[in-house]
Amino acid sequence: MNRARWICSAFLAAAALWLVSTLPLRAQEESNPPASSDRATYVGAQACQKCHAEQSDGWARNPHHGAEVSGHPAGKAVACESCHGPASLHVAADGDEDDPRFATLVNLKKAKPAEASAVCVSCHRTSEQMHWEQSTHAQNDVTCADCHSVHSPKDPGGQMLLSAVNATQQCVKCHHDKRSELAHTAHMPIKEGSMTCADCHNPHGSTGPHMIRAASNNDLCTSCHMDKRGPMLWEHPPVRENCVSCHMPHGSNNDKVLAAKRPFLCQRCHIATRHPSTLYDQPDLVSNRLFNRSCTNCHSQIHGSNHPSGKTFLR
Amino acid sequence: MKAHRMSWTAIPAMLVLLPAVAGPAYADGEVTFGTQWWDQTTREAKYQEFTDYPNGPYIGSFVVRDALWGGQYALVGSNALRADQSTGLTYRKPRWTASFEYSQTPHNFSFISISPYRQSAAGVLVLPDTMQKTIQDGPASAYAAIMSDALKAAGRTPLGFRTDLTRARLRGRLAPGLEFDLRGVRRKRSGNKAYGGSFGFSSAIEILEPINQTMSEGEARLSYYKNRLSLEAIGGISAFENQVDALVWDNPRRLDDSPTAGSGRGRIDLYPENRTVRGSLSAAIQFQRRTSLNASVGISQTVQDDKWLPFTINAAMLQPDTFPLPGTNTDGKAVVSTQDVRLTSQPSKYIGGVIRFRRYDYDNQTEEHTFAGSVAYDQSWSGTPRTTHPFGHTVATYGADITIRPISKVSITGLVEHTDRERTHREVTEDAEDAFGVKLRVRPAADLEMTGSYRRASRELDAFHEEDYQNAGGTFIEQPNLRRFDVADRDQEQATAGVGWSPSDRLSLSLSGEFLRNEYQDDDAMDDFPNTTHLGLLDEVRRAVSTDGSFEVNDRLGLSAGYGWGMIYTNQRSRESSSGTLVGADSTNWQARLKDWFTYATGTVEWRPVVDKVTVSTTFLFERSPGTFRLTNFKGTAIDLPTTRYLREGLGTEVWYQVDESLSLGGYWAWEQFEVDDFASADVPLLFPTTGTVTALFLGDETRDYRANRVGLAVRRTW
Repeated sequence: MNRARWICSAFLAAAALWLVSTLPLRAQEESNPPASSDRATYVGAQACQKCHAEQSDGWARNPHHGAEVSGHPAGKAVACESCHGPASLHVAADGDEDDPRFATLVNLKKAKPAEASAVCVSCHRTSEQMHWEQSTHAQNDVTCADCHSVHSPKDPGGQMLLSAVNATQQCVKCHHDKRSELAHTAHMPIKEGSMTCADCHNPHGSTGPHMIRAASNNDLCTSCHMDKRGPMLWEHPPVRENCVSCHMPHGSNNDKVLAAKRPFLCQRCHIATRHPSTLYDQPDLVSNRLFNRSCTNCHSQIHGSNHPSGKTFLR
Repeated sequence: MKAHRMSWTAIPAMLVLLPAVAGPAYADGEVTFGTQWWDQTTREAKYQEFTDYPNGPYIGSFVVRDALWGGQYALVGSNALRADQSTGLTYRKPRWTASFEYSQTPHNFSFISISPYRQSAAGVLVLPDTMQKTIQDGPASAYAAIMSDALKAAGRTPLGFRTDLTRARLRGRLAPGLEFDLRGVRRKRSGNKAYGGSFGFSSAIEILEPINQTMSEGEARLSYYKNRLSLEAIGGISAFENQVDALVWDNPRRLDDSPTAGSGRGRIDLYPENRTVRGSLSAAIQFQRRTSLNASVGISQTVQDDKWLPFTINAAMLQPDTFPLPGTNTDGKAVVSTQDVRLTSQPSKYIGGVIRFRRYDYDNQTEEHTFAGSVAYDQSWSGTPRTTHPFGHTVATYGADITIRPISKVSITGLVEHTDRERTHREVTEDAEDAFGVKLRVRPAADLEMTGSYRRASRELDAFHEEDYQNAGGTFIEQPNLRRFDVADRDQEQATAGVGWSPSDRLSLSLSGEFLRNEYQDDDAMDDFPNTTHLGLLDEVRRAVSTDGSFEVNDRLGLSAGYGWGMIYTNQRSRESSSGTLVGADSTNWQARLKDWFTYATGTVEWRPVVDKVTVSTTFLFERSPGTFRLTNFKGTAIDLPTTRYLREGLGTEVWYQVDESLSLGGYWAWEQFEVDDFASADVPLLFPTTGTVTALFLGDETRDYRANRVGLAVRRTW
């Protein structure tokens, strides 16, 4: 372990050196959308309507419509050039795709990942998107446009500008394993639409593990299941440390999305003297340790008890 | 479970009429409504756990958007008349956005429940005194007959509960770079669920737990950014209120409290109320060479000060002050602090990386309390002193990822991570884990991407405190050679692979696979117990593959399908012996090899015989989840448990005819089937066991098969 700590310390030292090498700060150059050409100038959204009537018609109902930004060279109100950059050269090409000026606009689907996202992040850099740069998605070259469609959103009402009908459908396009797990018998109400992946994960990045919207698994789970939050008088250590020790939040074959069927789940950690597990010698299932909720038929307060006689979670 | 039907009945009329009064070109919207005939065998076997299928008129969905007061609003909703309804309203102005959302989520359990108990007050379940008295005074053999008669006369009680969720949010810009975000959430949970209320080792009694809980949360964010600097402060508060904080139920075997024969009632202290206050600060700064540094610190405090109940409700056994409690409440307090620092850099197109540090500390500051004893099951006093343990833990993670892009179509990422964990009051107070990994992404063409990853981690504990497996007298109450998997030494391997191919806008295919292996090893501390067997979870393997694709054959025909398969294998070992002493051989061991499988398949065919006029779509769903339980023991007497199986399949077809641009008419038919074989939840008798001495009383919980058909007509109005 000491060696690993030395390795980590070395990394941190290298990081510090790297930071020093990047000083001093330069004027903001990446927070604004990159201009495609030094000679291009802003011409206003009216010029775009002539060819892009469909996008223009839908713009009035777009959440971006009418929104104000500050300090953007394209103007105060968000419009075409706020994201696509100055359009004078593109307009001058007059629809001729062979004209080199035609491709001088920023096309979010064709731009390099970091550049494409930089367009959005120039305005969306706090709150939900505060940690985008450090997110696993950004590190894996996922861009905003991979999940969002500003002009053709598919979520009802287009309020989130998603490329799919909801966040879950968007996520499982890439996270196929999670699509499989959601098919399990025991699952959260995700398939039914009462929850989405984005209720627990922030796809734009977070300071929590696995981009969850909390500092730990338990903090996340107890944000909805506050009844389990405690602290309790008598505590069950794995409950306090990590809900995922016993539950599989993406789905499982077992009641309450448990990782295994009871009593086997409990017997991974408990082989107590009061519960000799001789039930498997019997040729039938006559044992309340196999029926129904098994161990928690009696230990019903398994998440912790506040009762003076609740040490073993019976009360 | 009753939906707010009355308040929503005006919605379809309003939405249908709205086009006539809506403004000019700016307004748009859509509403889908209709009527449905729904038929299901075994109506109480509602496996549709989180949905409410209508039988009669319904509003499937609606969207209304328009300009209003210089801004724009959007009203979006679904299932307006049903218990799984959801409605959201958003209003936007140039500098701020306000949103409101209300939704209901039902939790319909696939159970029937028959209970002789009557709820006399919130959380108080009573039986007829005469029945208790008869059983108490009569021979033990009369219990089953009396309860059987009582259950025959008992009514059915709905098992299930509902969550009502209300959210409100206001966010906006106060000045250039200065933004705020206010959120409020209220969850109201109400209903009943089955709960265990035992009166002894072999006297399990299942009762209804009334649920009436409120969870409230508020959060305020203030953000500021200028040039390369972003700052954010967050403050939040949340509270859990439990309107039913104790559950009292009658003992069917006794009416009167007795100091020796047991209690006439039992009492459980339900979840205590708690409150949390939290705050965090984040800063992000951008440097040259696509380098940015993010740092966050957070702190929260949760308190819980519910009053203690007495040791027991059995008044005959413990008179007031016989065994005084060491206090009046837990006075629980936990402080969570977090620090997160990440440095991201991409100095050139060939190389980039992240260096990160994260620390999470759950400091449980609840005082330890020592009780003179306890009364298990409200039945008998045990004078062994018992002390509470406020469990806490700390996790610190150091990691680095470096990504190399030797050519534009290939990226290789190396990962190294080290984690230190510390715990209070557990048998393992410290462990450390090192992880190494590599990820490869290849994009040989614009329409083809291949990915793969491998990660290997090793966790080792620093110390094992054997005394945590002993009681106050030094006797082992847990097998000392048991290693609990959440803290045991572990070797972990993970691998993923995937291919995605989209040669055209009409065709896309993907295939992916995942593998995970956890091996729980003996640790050095086991050297103290030479030649011992190894108990607990030994190893675990998970495998999964999935594929999906879509193909637009032509303008008239579209196909899409998905398939997934997975398996979770676990291997665990336990003891048959009741002895608490160390046993070094396998002679009294049993072993369980469990497999949880799952398979799913979906398919959709969309046929447009008359383009832009008639659409026929058929969907198919298949989900199957078997479980196998292979048991062996040294004596050779173990038998496997029956295989469990959950199967759900469905088929549906809908036809839509577009009358004109604003009106479509639809009709549909759907069939759904659910089958279950599960020894634990099928045929659970009301009185248990079915042979031998009856000791347990259940609600007759039972997961049941069903088949359902539905036929419906729908109208979609667009404007």
